[in-house]
Amino acid sequence: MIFSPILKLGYLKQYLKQPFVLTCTKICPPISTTKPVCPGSSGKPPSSTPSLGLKRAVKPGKVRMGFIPDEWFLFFYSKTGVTGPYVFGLVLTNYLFSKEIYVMEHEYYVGLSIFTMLYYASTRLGPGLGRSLDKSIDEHVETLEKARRDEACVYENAIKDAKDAQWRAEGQKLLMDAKKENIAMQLEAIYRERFMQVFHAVKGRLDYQVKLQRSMNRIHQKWMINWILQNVKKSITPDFEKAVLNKAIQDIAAISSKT
Amino acid sequence: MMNNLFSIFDPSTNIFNLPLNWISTFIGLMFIPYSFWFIPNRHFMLWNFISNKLHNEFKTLLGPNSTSGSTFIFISLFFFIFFNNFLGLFPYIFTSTSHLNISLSLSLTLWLSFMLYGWINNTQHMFIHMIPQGTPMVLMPFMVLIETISNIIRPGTLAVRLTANMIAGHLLITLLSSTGINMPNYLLIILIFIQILLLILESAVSIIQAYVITILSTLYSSETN
Repeated sequence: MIFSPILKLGYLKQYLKQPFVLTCTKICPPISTTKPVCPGSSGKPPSSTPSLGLKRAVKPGKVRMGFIPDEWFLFFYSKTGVTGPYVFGLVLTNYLFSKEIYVMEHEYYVGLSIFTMLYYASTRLGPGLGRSLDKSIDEHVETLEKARRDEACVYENAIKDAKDAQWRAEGQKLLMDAKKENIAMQLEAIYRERFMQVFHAVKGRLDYQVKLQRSMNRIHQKWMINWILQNVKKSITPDFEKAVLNKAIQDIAAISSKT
Repeated sequence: MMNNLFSIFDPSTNIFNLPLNWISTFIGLMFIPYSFWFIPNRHFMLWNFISNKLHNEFKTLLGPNSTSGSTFIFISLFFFIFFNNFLGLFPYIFTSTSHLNISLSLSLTLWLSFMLYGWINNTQHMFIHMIPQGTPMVLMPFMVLIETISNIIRPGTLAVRLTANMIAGHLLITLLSSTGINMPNYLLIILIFIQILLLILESAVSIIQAYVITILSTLYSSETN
């Protein structure tokens, strides 16, 4: 019952969100529309990513004497030169101590011991600790980078496989053409074979006719000769035979008398 | 300037009688690392390293039946107490854990919440816990009495252990360094050397006390289940 008026005010939050959204868009960078370059292929980071102008500092800011920023010294350089800030520090400390504005009481001596301890800890133990921490940071970064590289590698392999598949698909076209040619050749061969069959069949029939004709001619000739010879033999009378024989003898005698 | 030896434990920095000393309780918050960048920096890695070590320790103690994430409260407690203890060693920083109102608020709240949870939800288990296995029947009434008393003084012991250690350590350092005011310069080196040893001890004590109070709170919480 205490919270119900507060809860009822919750619906007003949607109106409160408006200015926050407006302020947020001023700070948020615009969405990048360019495709990032695959890091595995070129090794260069994508240069088209917009940034807020913030860069992660790899090293901490430069300091002098362990804790005073370098910029403070440079700020006074034009007026006081190199020794200016040191002299200022010395004089200020001297003033504070001598005028007893800063009293050297028990906390001061504790401070001295603490300062000595911190100095030795940071110079002796500091670098070793820093190195081991850097190593663990590098391991962490390496894990992240490895994940990124592996994923990029997976995608690169996928691209390669897709290109391979495209090449193979084109090769399939050649294969299909070759198959078509093969089939055409087979069809041609079968056509020629059948043509030859037809040729032989037709030739066979014509040959038969020719043979038939020849044999008919031969039989006619033989019968004709036989018939002629029979008729001639029938027509030869004995008188005719005697006359011819006598003629033949006379011719022989004439020839033999000439020689 | 000290009126008496214990005036370092007096919250005396004030604006219009509002004591500002207690703001030192929150200095520990400034040491929590930022994770603005995705890649961690050294500070973050160190913090993570310590947190993970503590988490593994407490996880074992809380047992396999504990809810995941129940170690967080104890890790936060550890860091809070450690920073308050350790930063109190530095000059001009007030040690807030040297006051019972801080230590008791921590230990009493934790203990009472664990006990009430245990007594209301697992009453029988809490009563069984008081008597170890294998006690002879004759001793049982006395065991119950002793265990009850030891249970009830637990918040007191947690708080007072921390406070007493802090007061003792800081008092010793203050005592030693207050002799440095009237000391000739050639003896100052010995004083600084002794103070360094004492400060090393006190740094160790600050870590150990924070660890002890956290471990005991973990144990008390694991007892209720």
